[in-house]
Order: sequence, then C-alpha cells, then structure tokens
Amino acid sequence: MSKGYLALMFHAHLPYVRHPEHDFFLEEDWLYEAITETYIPLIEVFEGFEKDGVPWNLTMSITPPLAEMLSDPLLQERYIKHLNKLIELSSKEIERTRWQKDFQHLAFMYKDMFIRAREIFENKYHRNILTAFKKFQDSGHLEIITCGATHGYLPLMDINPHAVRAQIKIAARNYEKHFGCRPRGIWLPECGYYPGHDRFLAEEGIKFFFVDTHSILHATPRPKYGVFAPLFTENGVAAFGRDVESSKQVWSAEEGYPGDHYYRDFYRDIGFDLDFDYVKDYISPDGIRKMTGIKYYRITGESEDKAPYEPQIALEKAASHAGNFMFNREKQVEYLYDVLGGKKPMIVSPYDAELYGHWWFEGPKWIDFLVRKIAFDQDTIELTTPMKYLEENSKIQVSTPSMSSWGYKGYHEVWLEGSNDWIYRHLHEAADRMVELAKSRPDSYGIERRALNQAARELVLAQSSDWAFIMKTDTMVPYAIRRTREHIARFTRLYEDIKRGTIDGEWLNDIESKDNIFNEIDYKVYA
Amino acid sequence: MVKDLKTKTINELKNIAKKLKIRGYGKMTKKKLAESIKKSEENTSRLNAKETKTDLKAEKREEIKEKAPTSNIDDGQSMISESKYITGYSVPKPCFEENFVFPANYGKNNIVLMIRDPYWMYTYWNITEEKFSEIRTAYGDDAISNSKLTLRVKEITGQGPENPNEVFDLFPPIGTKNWYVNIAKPNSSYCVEIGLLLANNEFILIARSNVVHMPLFGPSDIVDEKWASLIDFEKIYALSGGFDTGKSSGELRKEMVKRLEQSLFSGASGAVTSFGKKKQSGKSEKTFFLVVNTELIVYGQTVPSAHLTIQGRDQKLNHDGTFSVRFALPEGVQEIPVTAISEDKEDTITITPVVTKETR
Repeated sequence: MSKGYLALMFHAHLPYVRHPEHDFFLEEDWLYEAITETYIPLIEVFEGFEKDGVPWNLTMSITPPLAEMLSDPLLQERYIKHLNKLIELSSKEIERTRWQKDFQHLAFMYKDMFIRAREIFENKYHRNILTAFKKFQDSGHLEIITCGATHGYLPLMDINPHAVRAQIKIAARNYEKHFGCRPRGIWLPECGYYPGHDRFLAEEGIKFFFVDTHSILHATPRPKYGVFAPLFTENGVAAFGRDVESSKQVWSAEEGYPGDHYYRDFYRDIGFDLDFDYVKDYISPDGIRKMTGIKYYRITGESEDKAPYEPQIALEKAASHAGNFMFNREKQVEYLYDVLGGKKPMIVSPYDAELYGHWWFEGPKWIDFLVRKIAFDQDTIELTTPMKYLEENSKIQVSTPSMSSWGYKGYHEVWLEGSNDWIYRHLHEAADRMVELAKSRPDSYGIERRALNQAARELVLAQSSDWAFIMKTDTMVPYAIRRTREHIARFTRLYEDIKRGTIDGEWLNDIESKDNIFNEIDYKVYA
Repeated sequence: MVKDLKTKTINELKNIAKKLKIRGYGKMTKKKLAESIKKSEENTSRLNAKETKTDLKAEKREEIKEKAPTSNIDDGQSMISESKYITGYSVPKPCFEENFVFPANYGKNNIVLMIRDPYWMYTYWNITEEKFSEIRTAYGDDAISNSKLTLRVKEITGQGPENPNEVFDLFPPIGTKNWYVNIAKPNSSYCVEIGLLLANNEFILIARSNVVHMPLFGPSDIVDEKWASLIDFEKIYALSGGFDTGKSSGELRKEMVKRLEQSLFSGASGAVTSFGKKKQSGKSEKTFFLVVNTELIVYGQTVPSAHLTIQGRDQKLNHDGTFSVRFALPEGVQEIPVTAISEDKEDTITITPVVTKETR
C-alpha cells in the first residue's frame, strides 16, 4: 500500500494571438512553437502510456484562449504552413551539415520530429489536438481543468466582483464547448488567489483549485497538516497547495534539472547562427532574425563555447533525473507519513506546461520516465489527481487560504509595479462600463446584442495577465501595450456607440472577425 | 507596352505574369497586373543589357543569373507595396486603434485601493477639473493655493472609515494620480481618502476608496479545536517549506520568512519561458568578438529530366534543371563528385570539384 500521493499538474497557456490582418505575425510563433515542442510531444508521451497500459494520472489546465486558438481554422492552417517551412529547412540542414557528423544526425532528428508533428497534427487529430487531450480525459487518466477566461489576474480585478465572476463563467462555458462536460478544477491565473473568489468557483460547480505554499501555511485557522493536505474553503471548494521541494527541483535556475549541461541549449538557434541569405526565408519577412526551433548545442556550461548536443546522453540524463525525483518523493513521503501520524501526505507539483519541451527540451521524456517508474518501480507513492484525492479522502479541514500567487515574492507585484500599474484604471473603468451596459440592457437583440457580446470579448482580451507580465519582463513590450490599447480602444468605441445607438455594422463585422474568441459568449454574464 | 496590355483580358495577363514569375499575380487586379508586367519587363531588359555588356564568359553569366541584383531589389520593393493590395483591394480604413489615446480621466471623482502584498498597497484616483473649481468657489483661491494634495490612509480593522484605529497622511506631488502606500500591519483593513489639506489643517474630502483587508504574513494564531494538531506545528510548517527539522522553532520561523522573501518565489512563474526568445546566448554581454564560419555553395544546371547526385546522394532539381546546395565547410580537403545521369540512362557526366579549407 502506498504511503502518500503525488499530483503533477501542467499549466498550458498562451495568450490569444491571432492576426488575420497580417500574413505573417511574429507573436503567433508562440503558439506554433508550443504545439511542436510541448503539446505534441506530450500527446506522444500520453499515447505511449495508453499503448503500453501504464496506469497514469495527471492534471493539465488548458486555458480558454489556448483552447480557442488550437481549434481555430486560420491558426491551424498557418501552423501547417509553419511546419512545412521547418521541414523544408531541416531538409536543407541535412545537406548543409553533410560533412559535420556532430550536427547532421541532429538535423535528421529535427526533420523527423517535424514530420511526426505533421502526422499527428494533420492526419491523426485532423488539426484539432484538443481532441487528443479530450480522449485522454475520457479514458480517465488526464484531468483537464480550466482557468480564467483569458488568464485575467483575478486578485487585481477584485474591485469589481462581476468582472471576476465573468472570467470564471466564460471559462466554464468555453470548457464545456471544447470538452463536452463541466470543469471540475481550475488553475487560477498565475495561481493568484484572493479570499472570497472561491464563491465564484463554487457557483460554477468547480471542486478544486491550486494555491502556492504560503497560501495554505498562512491559512486561517492553522492548517493541521501544513501543505500536505488540501483545505476546504467556506464555500466547499478544495485548495491544494504547492510543494516547495519538488517544485524547486524542476524550477530552480541553479539547482533544477533543466540546467544540466548535457541538456539542449535553448538560445543557440540556427535562425541567429547561420548566414542571413540562407535563413532569410525562415525568419521574419522583414529580415529580423528569429528562432527557428533548430538548435544544435547543449548547455555545456558557463562558457560561450558550446559543445554539440548529444541526444543519447541527454536521454540518459532525463531518465536519471526522473529516478532522482522519484527517489526524493519516496523519502519525503515515507518521512511525512510518520510525522503526520499515519496520514498519507499529498504532494502537489504544478509546472508551466511550456517549460517541458519548449524550454526544457527533454522535459516530456522526463515525464515519460517518471510516470513509468512510479507505475512499475516502487509502491511508496501513488500518482493521483486532486479529484481522485477528494474521492478517496472525505475528511478535510475547513480554513481560508491566504491571499497569494506563484509570482515573484508570492503576491501581486509582478503584475502591479511601475511598468504596468497604469493599465488598471482603464481595465477597471471598462469592467464597470461593461456591467453598466449589461445591467441596463437585459434582453438586447440584433446588432446591439452583437455589439454587447463583442464589448465583452474586448474586455476579457484586455484583461489577460500576459500583457502586464510582458510589460514587466521587458520582452516584446510594444506588443503588450499595443494589445492593451487595441482592446480598450475597441471596447470604448463599442461602449459609446451602444449608448448612443450608433453601432457601425461594418466596423463591428471587422472586429468580430479579428477578435473572434468565444463565439458562445453572452454579455449577460456581466449583469 | 502598357497600352497593349490594356487590351488583354485578365486571364491573358495572368498567363503573362505567370511566365514572368511575378509573385502574387493570382490576387492582383487587372490594373496592378499590367503595372507589374511592365515593371518586370523593364527589369528583364535591364538585366539583358548587362549580360551583353559583360559579354558571355559562361561562369560570369551564371553569376549574374544567380545574383540578379536589380531584379531582386525591385522584387522586394514591389512585394512590400503589393501587400497593401493583397489584403485590401480598397483604400485601407484609418486604423483608429493606433490613434486611440487612453483617457486621462473618465470624468469621475474616485479613488481605488488595491493590495500588492502584505506590506504594500497601490492606489489610483481621478479628480475632475469641475471638482477643483467647485472647491475653489467654496473655499476661495487662497485657501486652495496653500493647500496640499493629501492621501489619507486609515487603518480601520473592525471599524468604519469614520472611526479609524490609525490615520496617517501622505502628500503626493500635485498632478500625481497614483501612489504606493507602505503599511505596518498585515492582516488589517485599510481604506484611503484623497483630498486637499488646507493650511488650517482642515481636510476637504474628494473621494474615499474601497476597503481592503491585507493578507496575513506568517502562520495564523487561530487554531480550530477539531483540527488541533497533535504534532508540533512548527515542524509541519518547516517541512512544508522544505527545511531541516533539526532546528529550533525560532530559527525555522526566521528561515521560512527568508525563504518566503527570496528563493521560494524567484523563478516561480515560468511564463518567462514562453516569451523568452529575445536573449541570445549572452552574446550581447561581450563588447567585442569575431565569429567566422565558412560555407560552400555548389550549384549548376542540367537537363530537367536528368537524375543528379552529389557525393552519391540524390539531389532534387528545380523545374528548370538548376540546383544549388549549401554545405558547412569543415577543415581539410573535400571531394565533391557531382553526377548527372540522363533520363534514358544513356549519358552520364561527372564533375568533381575539390575544395580545401585551411584556417590560419
């Protein structure tokens, strides 16, 4: 019999980036890279479990904007084009590296990876890989959970509770559209919890959410089992706290597995390394170099002098890191089991899904090894999901978790500081106006109804925490500002037009086709 | 020339454009097609002129074809101007989003209070011109010019804003519209007021904020009897933070706080990786450097139906029988046999360039 539980949770999210008005749009690459490097490799790993009859339980959030992008025909079409270019480039690379034995096998590896990706994306899942994840959920092994409608950072939205509620309601409804059932769990955007928001989760029938460690440790009253058991909020929703140790082993820049010198280096990419003429068809059409995804070096060390990547050695590293992770969890669980007086501890380890594959190239393999080892090489720990835990453990302490997030310093500073604090007066005003519109127009129809729905779309798109985050991290800042401005501008015009009764139908068509997220949206969620 | 083109149908023009390899011809209007064809023909004649001038050394002509400098540049330019037509057909509408200016004020007098962390709050406010003139009328110009914009911070745990436990004032410079406020008591309720403080210490309230309850920093002192711990809570607390349990409670608490402040959260939000494509292997940190790589381009032409191999590996030909392959060139001698075999396998030609690379 096992002595404790381990729940791995992967948070998959990208902001809604879709620009039909441009043939090429650099930021759309975020999605294409994540599909090739993270989502498809995860699907391959999960398929392997199913094929080999590995008992497995994992949790994964697929945020509504990501689900909407993955099911969007334009982006699907563009992804295929993107992939075809990569296949073409990797074919050229196979030729180019003919006399470089250290590199040519890597060129073959990439070409193979791209062709497999196309096979899975196009032929196996007919361009909609959500159906793959849904299949794993239906088979009972993958718990897919939702998130805020557009990953809006809820603690900084609290001034208008209607706006918080709408983020949850829109998300739950969108989840139903894509997965055919109600969501049972939620990953609060950035793990951002504001006491009281759990009532909106309860309204949607959501059973559990995640918080950071200190949220549980500083809960009122004191949590008897620390972070090793969930708490029920007063509204009866379970809060699962993140385990520090297991997080650090993967996340930490210095001590974490992904920093191993034999793992593939993320930064060295042929898009930057090779002759301009040669790569110009594979970077931005305006000649700005960008990553292609073809990377030949391993991390090597501090020096600039990088050694060629050796996949076999990296694979062995991933296996031994998975073994190490499991060993540490076994020791942790055995010890905690005694300390807790014979109660099975719950170890919760949430990660950004895009860490695996995109950043840590070998990450999906690590998951593969870990899940298989846990299934066959030990019986101390049991892989579970929060939902399964709740089904097996009915006695749960009631306590209110403390406000928190998983961002730097544990609270809201990442999304509220000098570079981005100016956005909130506009976001709050727009939310107030949206509520005003919805309350004063309880049963609108025709063009006004469309305008109201579009106003709701513009509001939630402006609320994505990604824009504040990008402003803070100083990469792609103009794009984040542009998006905030665009959505607030469109919202403001809609608000004024609706109030005046002068909605410009042609313009409305245009922005409906651009910001086409959530075709099912109903502005009345703001009433 | 353009006149001639005008008499042709759009399909005829498209055929011409196709022959001339004009990009994007399928989506062009008739007028645009005619212009592109004209431009393309001018380029070709310029190119021809060059060819006759340099007079026909075989390799040279090859070089011109490869580089085709004039036509490449024009091609790029026309591509750029074309893009305008491909999407629009009509004159693009002025993009109002780009000209949108965030309103400085939404015509309200209000103040909003937000929590940043257990010790810091953020507040922003709006004061209309009308409000200022209203106050000016009521109190007189002098009183206003000697007043200070005042942010009054009230700790009101268990109280209403009228009976605060503690009050302190901050004086943001005139024109300021937001402020970060440092407070001493986590796990307490606060609200703020914006107003003017007159020289006689009278406070003119303009707006009062919402109330926020600051988060607790540290473990709660409240224990639910039903869930009273038989185990030392400090121990569980320490274990939850991943500490060595051999230490005293005081030490553990201190370490936990330190951990909370530093390492626990650094790098926690992994979204960085999703957007981290700007930094490139720290090259920017160097002030001066040199990297030299060599590549070899092998190119040529044969009969389109022929079968071609380079160093024994099949090489796909372009439609016109040309080919071009690029190799990273290592040190030493490379022999590169290029073999063309005719479709009927009757004829075979092999040409073997030998290249030596030596870096000194």
